[in-house]
Amino acid sequence: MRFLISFLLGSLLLAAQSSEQITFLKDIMPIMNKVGCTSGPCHGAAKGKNGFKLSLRGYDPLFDYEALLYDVAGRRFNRADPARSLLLAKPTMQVPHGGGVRIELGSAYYKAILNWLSKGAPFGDPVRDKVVKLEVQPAELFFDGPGTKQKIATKAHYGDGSMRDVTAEANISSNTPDTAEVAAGAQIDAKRKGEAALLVRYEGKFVTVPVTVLNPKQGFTFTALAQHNYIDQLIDAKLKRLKIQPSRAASDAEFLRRVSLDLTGLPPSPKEIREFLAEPGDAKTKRARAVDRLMKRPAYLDQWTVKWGDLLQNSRRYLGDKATWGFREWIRDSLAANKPYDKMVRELLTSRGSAYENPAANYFRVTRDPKPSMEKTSQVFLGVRMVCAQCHDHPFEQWTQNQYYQLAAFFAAVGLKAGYETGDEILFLKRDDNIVKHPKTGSTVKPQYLVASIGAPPIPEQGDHREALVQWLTSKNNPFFAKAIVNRMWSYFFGKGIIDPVDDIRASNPPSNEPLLAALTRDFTDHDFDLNHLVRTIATSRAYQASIESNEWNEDDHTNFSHQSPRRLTAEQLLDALELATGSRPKFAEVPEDTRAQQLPDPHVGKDGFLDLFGRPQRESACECERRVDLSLPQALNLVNGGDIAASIADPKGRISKMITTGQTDKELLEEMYLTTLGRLPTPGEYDKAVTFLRGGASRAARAQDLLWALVNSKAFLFNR
Amino acid sequence: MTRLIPVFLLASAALIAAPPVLNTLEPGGAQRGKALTLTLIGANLPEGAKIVSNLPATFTPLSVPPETAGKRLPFLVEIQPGAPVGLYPVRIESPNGISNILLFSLGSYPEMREMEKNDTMETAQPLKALPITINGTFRAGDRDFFKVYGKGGEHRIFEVEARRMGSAIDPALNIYDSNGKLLIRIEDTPTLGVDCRLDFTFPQEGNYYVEVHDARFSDQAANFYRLKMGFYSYADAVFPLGWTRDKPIDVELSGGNLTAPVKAKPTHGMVSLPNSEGTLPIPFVLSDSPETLEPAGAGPHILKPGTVMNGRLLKPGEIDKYRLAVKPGETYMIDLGARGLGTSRLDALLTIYDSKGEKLDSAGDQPPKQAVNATFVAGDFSTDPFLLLKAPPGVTEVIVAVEDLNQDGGPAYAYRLSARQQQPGFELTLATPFVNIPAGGSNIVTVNVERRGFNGDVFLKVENLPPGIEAAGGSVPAEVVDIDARTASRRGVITLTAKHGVKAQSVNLTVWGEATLPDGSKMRRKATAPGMTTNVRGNFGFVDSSRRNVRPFQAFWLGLDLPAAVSGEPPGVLTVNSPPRVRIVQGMKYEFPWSFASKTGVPSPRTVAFDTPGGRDLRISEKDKVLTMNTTLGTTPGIFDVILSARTGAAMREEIVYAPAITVEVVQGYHVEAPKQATPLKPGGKVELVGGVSREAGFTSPITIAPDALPLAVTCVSAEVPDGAKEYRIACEAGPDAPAGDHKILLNPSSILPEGEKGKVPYKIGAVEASLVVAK
Repeated sequence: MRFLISFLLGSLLLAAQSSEQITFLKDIMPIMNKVGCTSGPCHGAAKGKNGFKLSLRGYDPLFDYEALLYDVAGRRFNRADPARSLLLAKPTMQVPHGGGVRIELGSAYYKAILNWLSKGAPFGDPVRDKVVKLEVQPAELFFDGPGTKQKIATKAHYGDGSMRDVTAEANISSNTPDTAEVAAGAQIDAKRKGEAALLVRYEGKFVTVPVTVLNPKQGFTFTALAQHNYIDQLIDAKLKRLKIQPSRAASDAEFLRRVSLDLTGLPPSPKEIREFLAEPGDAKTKRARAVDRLMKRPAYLDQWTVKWGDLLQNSRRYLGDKATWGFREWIRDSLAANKPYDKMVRELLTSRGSAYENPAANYFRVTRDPKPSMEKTSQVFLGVRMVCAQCHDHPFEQWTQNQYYQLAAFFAAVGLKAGYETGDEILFLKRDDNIVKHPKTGSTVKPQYLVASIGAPPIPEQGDHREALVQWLTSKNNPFFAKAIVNRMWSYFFGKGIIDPVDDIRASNPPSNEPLLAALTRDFTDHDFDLNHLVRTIATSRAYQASIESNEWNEDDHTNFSHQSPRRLTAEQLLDALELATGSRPKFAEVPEDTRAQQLPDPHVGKDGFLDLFGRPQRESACECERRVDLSLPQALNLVNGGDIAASIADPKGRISKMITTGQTDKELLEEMYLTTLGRLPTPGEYDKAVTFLRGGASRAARAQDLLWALVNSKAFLFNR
Repeated sequence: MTRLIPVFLLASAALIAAPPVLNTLEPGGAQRGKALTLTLIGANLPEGAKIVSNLPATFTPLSVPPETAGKRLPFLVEIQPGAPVGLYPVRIESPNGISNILLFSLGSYPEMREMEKNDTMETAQPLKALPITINGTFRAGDRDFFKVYGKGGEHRIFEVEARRMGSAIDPALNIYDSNGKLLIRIEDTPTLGVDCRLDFTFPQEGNYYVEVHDARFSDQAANFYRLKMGFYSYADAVFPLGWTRDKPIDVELSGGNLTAPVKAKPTHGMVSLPNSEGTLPIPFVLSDSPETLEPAGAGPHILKPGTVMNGRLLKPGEIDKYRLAVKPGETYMIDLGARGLGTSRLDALLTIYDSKGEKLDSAGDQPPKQAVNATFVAGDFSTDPFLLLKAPPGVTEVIVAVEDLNQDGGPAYAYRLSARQQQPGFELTLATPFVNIPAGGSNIVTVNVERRGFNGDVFLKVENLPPGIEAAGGSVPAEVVDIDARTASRRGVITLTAKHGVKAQSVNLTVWGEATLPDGSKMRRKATAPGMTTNVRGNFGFVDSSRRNVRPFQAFWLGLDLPAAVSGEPPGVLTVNSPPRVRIVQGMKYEFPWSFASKTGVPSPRTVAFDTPGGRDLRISEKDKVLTMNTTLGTTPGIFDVILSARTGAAMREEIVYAPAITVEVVQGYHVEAPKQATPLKPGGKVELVGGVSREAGFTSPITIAPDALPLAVTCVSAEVPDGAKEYRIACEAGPDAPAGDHKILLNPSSILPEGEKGKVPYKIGAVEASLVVAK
């Protein structure tokens, strides 16, 4: 801190001593932010500290100004003797201060504040002294390898057209300090190969600076692989630049299992595998045909119905059982009709009437009030998290508290009342009590779009504001809408979004491949928000079909999609895969007998069982993070010792029993087991060992069960590879 | 609709058997003009029991195989060829009593039974030709598939009757092509309730799969449905929604697949589409009030108090306005019927404005103000809006506006609007659709009270009781107007007791509620009867997490009162050895010894259950066949009932027997009267304030009367009134400076409970005002 303060004898001191008028806005607020007065642990806390409250990170300068000068009867400012003002005595520890020394006595910051107080503590001009733009030079950092360093400079542009170097006061942070570390003096140290993003903040403005640290290893030559579509071109372009060699394509069997699981939630059947492996034609063509075949299956709808059910929080906890079924069918029907995504969202957000008759209205039954409705809408459909802005301006984003309530005001008139059937509710437009009030001022907040976009309709004064919101939201010009779903869909095929987390799109969380995300977004909007087109484009790309095996040039790459990554099967996929492997289907109460896990309407069917253990989300929030695909000890114990697996394998009507009783040969038995579990035939080595094992004891059936047990406990079964 | 239950006498029977119970009719319907074997399935169905129904058919009993005796009762039914399509109630009568009603659906198409196992497309039940009606049932999680053949462009109607015919099933209907691709689905069809109908054209020649399932895949006892497939005309809008009973009216049926509106005549609370034999008739309200149709023109039109205005919102966004003349200070009930009737799509918002356009009140955009849980305890749901409006001072006319909550409109957006001047009132609904009264025993009838602004006592009475049958109970104590009150008084229970030896007989009873309004006038309301009740199991979720049942199906349109029958003797007689009406001092206890006389050798129950509808802050315990009821100081003085019941018999043949209700009057322990006349007192003088004290029997504690709010320079000494004393004497003395005047002073009575649970419990009652006149 002392080093920093001594460093700060630059521009601010000069400004304070120059003829330019010193103001709170331009000169004092940056000091308070820099030394931490307004930080969360100090006076920026929700309730302030020791009776002194400032806005978090100084998002509300007027509030802070008034707090400094007028609260506690103005005791913090000694007009007769400014040097004895409490606001100088405290941070210099001339009087006890819980936060310790924040400003050295006689330092440049001290002098600046004293100077400002001596001049009558002017607030400044909210327009002229406001930072309107922040500029960082260089705009992008490119290091040849670890061990190199570079300084950056930050300039603030003000409303009056002036510019000031604020490098010393700007806050710089790295999202990947292991790759690019921020050192003193605005110096960036390249620590190891990879990519990072710097967030440079100053007075409510911020700039992100991408950082690339190249692999210093010599001898890289990019070997071009087949490019199936623009995805591969854009990925290759970046890989080439970063000296990353993409992995080869996965085998046909690997591809079929992967794409079957991703598109339908189900592993391929032995028959499908055999037919696909025998199918003539080049890999690109036959794989594209497989994608088309899978997308026509009812299971394709089931798989994506589960994903949308998660996001839209379809749960009888909120909706009751009848509406839950109805909402599920609405989602599934929308997908079956390949309803354009914008239309689907429009139907949800402008829904009204009985939730039984119009299941889209269930969307609002979960959130019920304007604020949570807005938060969910922005997170699900814009990929933007607005929650922080409810209490204060977003500390790392451009979103303000005003915007939070302006966006919530679009839903102010949404009312719910009990329907005419038990469990039903009717969504209607409230004639009374249909406004949102700002918590600070108590005034009515008029709805306003989050960001301006071309063609956004004027917002009506009265009536249902949702129509205007939806027009703005689903517009091709909306900078978030299409991008958010494209990014989200991408993550379902790669385990990671181009922006990740997928529902946290912000300037400080930049995409790993901006051109790729832009191209996907453009393609999506050019095809009128066709989700199937998007799925097909991604699934037929070479990048998607890449092997999980890495090479010496991409083994460290986890962000540029140079290879695929194993993904643990979701809870529903796992249970359905076990059914295929064992031939035994679990029974759930009050659903049809032939219902697979992917077809369950909500998490209350089969609650607290296998599915929940393996991370099925309870749909308590619209966050993707609620679905867990981690690995835990209870899961491992369940797989190894759990009654579910053992009972399925030993099911009298199960696969092993049937194959043994119908006199299948060892070859038939083994091939079937491998195909149904791993999606491939056994290698010769595996085959020989398995045959030896099968023939090694009295009970062939028991050994077959053991072998199947081993297979379903293998990573190759548990993961989508 | 003819009266279902004619009064008749059955042979006296000393049989001790439970009354009959019907669970299912097999099949649930039939084609008119055809003969069929109708099997009544249930419990306690004795051979020789008689079918009671208005179905135009003959019923010939068939022999009952021994293995199904009591469980299945077959009849050969010959239905008249010209019988109207519709629903017909069926019940049986036997010496053991009357059964519940089930509805039999009469159709015009050939009938077939659903054949399991048809749970998948692969095992779909093939249907050779349309039209056809399938009679099916569902198990939990069941799906029924039917394979039909369709020609390209062929137009067909698929309709499921379930809830309309008293099933607990909430049907959903899907149609798939031969590749298993879902082509169309429907769950609820407006104006059919939760039943559904699809109007579908086969896109090309080939096989199609029709799937029917319960929307929740739930497990229901009443699990039957009828799937109709064919082509017929149907309407989905009716106007008006009702009319004065026995007054002619042309009802307009429109929408659906009609090319133009059609006129029809309502009969027996139903209106059928002429020349259409596929769909069930549409319920039609029959009222006892004058009715009128919404006049043409923009309005606002005149809404005449007491006359039902039948209107509709023909266009989206339309608002119908009516002028209602009112008297300032008078109260008006403005009532609207629309979607809640089941035949309108209008989700109405009712708003009252004064003549300047200022909004006075509205209803329909929030939970019902006073009807929460009033009629059913099963779940939270909306009813059509009503408003109790007290005309503000100076207001002689208000505007009543009717609009759709979502600003929709069309021919199906009809309503019935009425206004009447009235005091706050109440509505009654029987929760018990019928009752069997065991000869020599008792049974209960539960009545729900929907309070419409009236919170006072309601007393239920049974009319036209035949000789030998007595009613007891029926008290509905005053509602405690306290949103935090744990109890709500919206239910009353009547016990009906048949004297021993009363001949078995079947009668129609009517239940009335009587109340005294604040102005001293009397109000009487007749309880409406559900006709039948089908319980619908379960719904789990946020909205109704505390309720496991869905709103039951009820058939008010049957127009029944309370069918009752004297049945066989009960397994035993439960008796409360207490006067039929007792007085209990507030805060004191009362003991109800009970006894059980077995008639069939069943052992005496060890304990009894009790019900005290509307009784507040009671502590009830039971030991050694004595029910002890402790009232508390929170037990409001008033009247309520105690109904004792007991389970008898073995687990599989358990029956509940009831004792006649005991009416309890909770009274204040003592009363203090003010001196009859103003007491004069001279400055510097003395005087005694003398007034009366009365006590309830058993209230023996001394009573202290402490003067308060005395004028300056006047002192009075508290008086203690021992048990037995009839008056109090309070000595007062005035100083010379006592101010002249008629001073109102307070006399604060206090005492202790004679048998407080926790020692000496203070027992204060309200202060009494006395007049002390200081004059020279």
